[in-house]
Amino acid sequence: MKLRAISVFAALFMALVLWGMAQAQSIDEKVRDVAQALECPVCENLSVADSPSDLAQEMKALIREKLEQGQSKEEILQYFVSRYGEEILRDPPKTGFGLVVWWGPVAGLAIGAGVIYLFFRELSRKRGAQVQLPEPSEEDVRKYGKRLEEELGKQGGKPI
Amino acid sequence: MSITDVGYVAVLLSLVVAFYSGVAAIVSARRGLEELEASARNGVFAIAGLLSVAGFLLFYAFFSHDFGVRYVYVNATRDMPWYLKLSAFWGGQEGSLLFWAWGLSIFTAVVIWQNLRRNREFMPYVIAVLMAIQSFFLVVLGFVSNPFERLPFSPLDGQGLNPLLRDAGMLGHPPFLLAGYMSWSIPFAFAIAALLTGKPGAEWIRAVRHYTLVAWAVLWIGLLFGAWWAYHVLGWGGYWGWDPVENVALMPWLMGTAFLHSIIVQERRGMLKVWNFVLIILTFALSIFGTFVVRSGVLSSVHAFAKSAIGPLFFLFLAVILVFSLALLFTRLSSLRSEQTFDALVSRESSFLLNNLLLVGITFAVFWGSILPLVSEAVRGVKLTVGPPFFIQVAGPLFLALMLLLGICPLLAWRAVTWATLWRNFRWLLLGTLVVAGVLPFVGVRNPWAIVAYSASAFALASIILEYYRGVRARRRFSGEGYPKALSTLVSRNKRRYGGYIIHLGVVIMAVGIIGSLMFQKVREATLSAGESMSIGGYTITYNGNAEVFMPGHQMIQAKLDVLQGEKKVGEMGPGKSIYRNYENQPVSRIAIRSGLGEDLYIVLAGYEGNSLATLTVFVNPLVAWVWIGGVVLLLGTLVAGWPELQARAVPVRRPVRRVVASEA
Repeated sequence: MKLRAISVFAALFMALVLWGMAQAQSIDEKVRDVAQALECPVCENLSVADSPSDLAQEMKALIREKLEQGQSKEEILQYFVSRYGEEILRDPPKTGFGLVVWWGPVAGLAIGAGVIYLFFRELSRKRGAQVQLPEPSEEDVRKYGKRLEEELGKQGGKPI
Repeated sequence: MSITDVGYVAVLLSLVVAFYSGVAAIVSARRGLEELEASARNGVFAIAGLLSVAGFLLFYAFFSHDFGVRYVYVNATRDMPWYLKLSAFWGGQEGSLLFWAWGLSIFTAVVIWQNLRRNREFMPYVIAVLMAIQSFFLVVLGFVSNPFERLPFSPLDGQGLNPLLRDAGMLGHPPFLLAGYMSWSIPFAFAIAALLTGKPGAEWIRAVRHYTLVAWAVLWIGLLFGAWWAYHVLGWGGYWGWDPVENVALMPWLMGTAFLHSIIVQERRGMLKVWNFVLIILTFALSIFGTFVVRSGVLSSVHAFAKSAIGPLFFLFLAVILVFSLALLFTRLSSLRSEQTFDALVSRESSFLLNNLLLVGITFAVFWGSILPLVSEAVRGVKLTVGPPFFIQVAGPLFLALMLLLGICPLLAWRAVTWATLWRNFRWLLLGTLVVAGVLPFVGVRNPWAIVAYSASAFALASIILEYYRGVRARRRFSGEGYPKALSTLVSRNKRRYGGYIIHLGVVIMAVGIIGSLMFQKVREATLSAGESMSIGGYTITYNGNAEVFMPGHQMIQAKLDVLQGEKKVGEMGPGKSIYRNYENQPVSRIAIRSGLGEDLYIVLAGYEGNSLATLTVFVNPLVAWVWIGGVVLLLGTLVAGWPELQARAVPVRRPVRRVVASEA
């Protein structure tokens, strides 16, 4: 019963997600989207979209022109890379060395998770086996809850 | 010889005293010479005095227009208002480093004073470590980057601060950031003292808890001011650009957050001892890294105005810190065994571990992205950059997981939890969250990631409220107090726990603002002639030409705008550009912002021609106000959590009854 309710919710949710993804962008939004992926060549740490410089204005006009000609975001970015080099991209390309960049943090996280797992196993093993807690009966839970609340009331809750 | 030379002498004397105090403290501890330790302590107080003299003299140089001092000449002009002269102190590298050292000297003196009778065993080593750090900064100030250096002549006027820094926000952002970096020295010094004395148990954790909270809060204020400044001055419509200088300030804060959480596990369960040392060492190293990056320009960014040759020195210092402390930790490993073991995979302890993994993971990702330009330049000869999309895509999901964890953790018991209890605790929260997720699309939130993120926030919020509700209910049942009274007793008796939840509440509020402004920002750019209008997100903006405003030291071009929301006129706005003397080629945007709880209207004058043509960039930033509100709530929570417990007041002893009787007899 519960499971069915949850799966209905999940299905609804997925439908919404897909619907949201399908929302189309206007031309202004597309220009900004492309311009945000490009680093302003004459500024420090500003995208073409956010830069007030003349060069950035020209680049934005060029992006609009190319979008209106029907070029895709990738094609336009490629055009700017061929003119300015890879430095123009605000984010590294997802190929070659760029892959290392993108996956570095993920690898770091995986290593961290692995270390924690090993640490956990090490500490648990020292103790023998993991504790198997018997499932408490409803009665136990009720009694324990009552006692806990009394204690909490006395001290106003335990400090962490 | 002029008066500012006294400041330089004070710096050099401080260096001598710092060296003496550090050595004296160690010798006193080894030989048990209490008088020598007292002498080392006096040295610490003397340094605080000397550096205060140096600090005030630099202020004096700014306010007396002593342009013969190079640092004053570079950073000030005669006609700068008082608050800019004040903030010019930390406008460049030399002054910032002096501020660091001055702050450390005062903080050290306070710590010594508070620990005259406490933590006796640690204190000599705490002094020694802090004096070593102090000496490094004094060497840099004395021989590489001297704020009191004089020019061969005295110019009549100075160049003045970089225009971007000419903002009242500069009164708050740099000093808090620098003080935040500096404050991490204290917990670090205690950690090293604990390792050196061979007592790496719970004592040092207790000793540093409050200092850690102070450092954490001060750094937070610095970050918040920084975001505020970026939003009001930089003019790209946001408050956080993942700029390297912002990133290096965020890193020690995140690492420190991990430390604040994981020491709870050590206090409760006697575990994670080694890990806590690692965390505090890394936090301090990241603080030094932050100071170094801001003030050396090694990672090029909009903030790195001050560039100099102190880079290698800082790098060496950083290396010494890491090698020394990690090696020391390694030699003490045998005395750092856990007192307890993990009982189950799902438990409060493991949720803290996961919290640590996520926080350190985010820090790592941010670090990775920030140093990438250097690495790629070294490896491939191309200076690759990573922009906001990288950080958002990599760190975003981790923040999301953190938000979920923030909701789950309070519901988990220490040691072990069974799935049945978990389900019992969770079902209503889960249901509530799903309802929120279902409702969101009907109130206009259609971006799938926004729905996920807001649902997670709702989950976390509900969990915090539930915790409070349970506590208050239990309190009422026990004492029969009314709701407000029960709430206040609950919080005041458990400041740490419920203060912590207030901090979490602040985080959730901020998340609501961040998600809103990140995902629902609207932006339009238009070039208008006088009389023309543009519209965006329900606003109609009419342009009425440009005006010129002359002010001391600069002139401003302002676009006059009338703003209508729907049909109703809501006000006039005047975004502009300021042009400063000596910085004519670097005009600074004067952004016009109309703030509200729902959204901000944010207008930048991107360009203009003559009196009747202007290019405007207009942003509608939803929910930004909640970022600031959440940030302040977080700070209030920190105050509650760190509020000192009142000492049980000694009841004055009345005259014993017997004597009264005797005297009357």
